[in-house]
Amino acid sequence: MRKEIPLAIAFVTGFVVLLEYFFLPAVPASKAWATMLQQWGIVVSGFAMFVAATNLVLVNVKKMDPKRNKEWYNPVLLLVFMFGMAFIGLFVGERTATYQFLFTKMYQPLGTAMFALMVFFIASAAQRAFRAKSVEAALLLAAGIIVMLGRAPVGELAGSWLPNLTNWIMNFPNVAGNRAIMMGAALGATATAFRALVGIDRSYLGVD
Amino acid sequence: MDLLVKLGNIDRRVIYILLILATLVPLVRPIGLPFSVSEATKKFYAAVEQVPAGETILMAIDYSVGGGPDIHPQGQAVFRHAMARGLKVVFVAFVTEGTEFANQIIAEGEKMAGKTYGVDFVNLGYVPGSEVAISAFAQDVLKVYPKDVRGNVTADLPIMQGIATVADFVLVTEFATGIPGPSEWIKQVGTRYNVPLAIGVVTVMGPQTTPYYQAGQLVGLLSGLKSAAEYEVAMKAPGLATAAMDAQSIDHIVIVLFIILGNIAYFAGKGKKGR
Repeated sequence: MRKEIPLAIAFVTGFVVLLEYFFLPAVPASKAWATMLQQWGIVVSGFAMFVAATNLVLVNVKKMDPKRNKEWYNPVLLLVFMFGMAFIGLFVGERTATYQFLFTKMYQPLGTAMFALMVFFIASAAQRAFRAKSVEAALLLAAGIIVMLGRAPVGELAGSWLPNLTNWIMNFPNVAGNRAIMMGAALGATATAFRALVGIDRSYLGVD
Repeated sequence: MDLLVKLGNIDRRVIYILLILATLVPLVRPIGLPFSVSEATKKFYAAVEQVPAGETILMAIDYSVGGGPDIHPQGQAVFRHAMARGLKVVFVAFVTEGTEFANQIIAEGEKMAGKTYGVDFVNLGYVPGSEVAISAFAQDVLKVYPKDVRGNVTADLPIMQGIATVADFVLVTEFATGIPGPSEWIKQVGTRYNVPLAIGVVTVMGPQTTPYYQAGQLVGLLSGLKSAAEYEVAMKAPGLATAAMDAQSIDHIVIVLFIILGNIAYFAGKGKKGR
């Protein structure tokens, strides 16, 4: 029963939501059932965040031992800021100057800086690795350079041909490739979803 | 020949310093490079322009702080356009940081003359659950959001009168840095409710979102900071995004030059080995 009950729950939930999505006019009652299940989904997602936070605490508490971890201060900092942010958000208020300072003057610039640092690594890596070693690599290189220049205002200084060529690359080869990937992924996702729905794929239960 | 080969092994710190200069100098001393507005941006702008004054549009702020500088100017520009046209804007978020970004946009709105929170705009906040939450929200807005971020009862707010499902918005816009993003909104909102959907994404998501736009599933598409700058130009109100375009141009030139130098060094080295 430990396997059958979760499988039955997954089947009924998936079936009702699919019924409502594709056959609502034929089965009007499915709307109320699907709405209820989706509301439950939101509640479960909220609890999942709590479980994730608990897991983060448990993992990092283990790493706080100075004898085992030379960088023991990193998990300490993480937990101090995590609980500090949660405490201020919950008990002091999200619209207070303290919370706003933490978000706009600390969290936001730090997150942005992490993302911005990528430009340095990309530039350095591109200079070392982006080589025209084969015909395919040469085509990729040429397309990359054209799009980089054509998507920036400086590309328009060269005349309308560069932005036009950029648009052609983006609208034809790019769309054709992406569309093929998306269709393949969608077919794969449909097959996987069907296998999970009928209980063939039980990996989400921790069973092979 | 040796000098050419050495170009392939430039100290990475030189690249870093040149990139910093390429970013900072144009920001301090703008060049003012002109640029045209792309068709996808024009269509997004037209979609907002066509909404009758007094109607309500939705803005879903689904971006994180990492991609913020690339996409936040899009949200700001669209909001300014909506306010200038006398539209009402309802903000929602299905990414945790989205609520704060919506608050930042609204803070600008509260400084505008004659604009009031709860009447002209409202922030309903964040709901967990990603695609499931979007689907539930689309079916019953008030059930998913019984209160806004300020604790007001949503059903009592003047802006929410007449809003029951997502189909009651004249235009739905979403701004995303990942999941949930265009795919989730098209599946759960655009296709099911037949409501016009316009989407803004970070630059790296542009290529994978273009097929949706080409297929007509999106009425407009903004891609990264460049599109935000184009939107500002379309509004005839240049802002931060427009100011950043010079820096982006010079950065791109620097990166392309280093790629070309790396290839010259590669072929020079290959020729040397061949001899």
